[in-house]
Amino acid sequence: MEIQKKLNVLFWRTGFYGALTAGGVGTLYYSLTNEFIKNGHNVHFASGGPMNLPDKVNKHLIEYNKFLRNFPEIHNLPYNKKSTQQIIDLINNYNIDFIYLHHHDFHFGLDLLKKVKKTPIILHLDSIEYWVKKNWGKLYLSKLMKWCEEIELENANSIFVVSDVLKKQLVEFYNINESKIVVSHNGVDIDKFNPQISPDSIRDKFNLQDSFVIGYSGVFNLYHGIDTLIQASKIIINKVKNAKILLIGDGELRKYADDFAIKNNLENKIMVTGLVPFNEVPKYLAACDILVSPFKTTNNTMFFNSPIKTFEYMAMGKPIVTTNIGQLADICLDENNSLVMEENNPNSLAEKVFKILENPQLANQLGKNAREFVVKNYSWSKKYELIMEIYNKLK
Amino acid sequence: MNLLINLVGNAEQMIFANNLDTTNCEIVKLDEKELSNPKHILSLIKGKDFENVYFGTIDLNFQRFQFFIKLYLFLSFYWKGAIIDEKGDNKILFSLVHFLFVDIPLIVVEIFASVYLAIYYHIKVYLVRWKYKKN
Repeated sequence: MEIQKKLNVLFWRTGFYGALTAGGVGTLYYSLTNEFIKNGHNVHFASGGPMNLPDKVNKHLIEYNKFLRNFPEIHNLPYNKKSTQQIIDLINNYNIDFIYLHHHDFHFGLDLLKKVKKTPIILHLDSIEYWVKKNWGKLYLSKLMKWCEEIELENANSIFVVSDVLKKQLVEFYNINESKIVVSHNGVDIDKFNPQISPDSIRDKFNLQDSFVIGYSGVFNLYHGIDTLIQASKIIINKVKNAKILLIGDGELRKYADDFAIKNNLENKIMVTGLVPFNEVPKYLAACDILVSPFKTTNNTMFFNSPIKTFEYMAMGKPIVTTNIGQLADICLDENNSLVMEENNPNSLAEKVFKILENPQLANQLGKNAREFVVKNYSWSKKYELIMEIYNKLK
Repeated sequence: MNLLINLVGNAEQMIFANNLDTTNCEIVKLDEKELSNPKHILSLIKGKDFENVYFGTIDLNFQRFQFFIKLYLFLSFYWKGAIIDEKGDNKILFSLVHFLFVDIPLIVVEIFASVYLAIYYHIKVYLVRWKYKKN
């Protein structure tokens, strides 16, 4: 058995994300850095803003220019040189063994970094930024953005993507050599998220003691299908008088949720918590009887994400209603560890909720199977092991 | 009645940290992306006869688009408004004099600098990429 030496690992998040520490990326790095610490490594984290990370992580803030803050695309460009130079200093000062870089738009600093340092770099991609901006946001300086993305992909020693769908997209879109791409799913902290957590504090806080609670946790974006859940809530509440919908999080569709509740006189039935610190999320999930992830396809593209929320739901041992698009088809097994609803169909979602409500034995079995499945396949330690395997090949 | 437009963060924390009156504050959650929709923002601000308008964020040190927020306050004639955060120790009060004589000249400089940087980086990144394509 090979004994792994204690490594100095540098995580690097280049994007400008303001002061927001909640969300999937925050969860990913809290959990991943924690795994490295648990395994005895020294962990450094360089970022353009604050991050919610374990205490033992050495945090290095590389601040963005305060002047260029009204045109975000431009804001990113000079940051390349500044941040890369500081990363080179960190490599020198702390003898960094490898870098785990979170991919972000308009970043091409790896070109400069690779000229002066041979430190292996693993580039983590949640999505092709060019595609995301073009289809879901507003795309400015499109050619420049694409060129930057090409340079990053070229310079990375290994590219971690979160799903097979994204790997296929990347190969087709940028003609990347497949052997360089590693599919590495997201995961869950199976100790932090567990079925033994008490639901009482949150049930008391939101007056849910006698309610049947249908919960959702995460960002309120269109592709998360939260609009489907909100529309389904009316059907559910009409039939189940003590049902309440607990929406844990915030985002673009928050106003849609608030307006829907007001328009349909459901303000006491649909509750939005707003942003919740990551450490408190398990308590909120524990307060729910059913958890829902109604992801949907947008822009005719296969769902390419690896949803942390689904893994967290599963780890809580709760019955889940979900769609099974993209990678979810391999994770969410209908009538086994979840009930699979039709995408974008509020009636289908409501029917699955009723089915669980009417069959407590099924609810228990789904939750039990989900927990077993995620513990076996999707804990963060699996991702840690894969990173170490790739590092050992690269070094 | 005051209006708190919450861009990101915890509205209750912003109210508490800035000593605002909870009972006299209407909170509207607004995604930062909506700042590019002037019609929406101005109709929101002018929708009722608010005494004061606040834009709220987690931490002012990391809030982008501050010029545009001030521009909305200026255009809606809420010249007493402010940008506040969850810490409450460094709120930015709207000042007409500061807006006209500091913020506007600075945004002009920022526009010129941005055009320059866009051109400069187009050339620089094109050349870097060309090097890879050549190999």
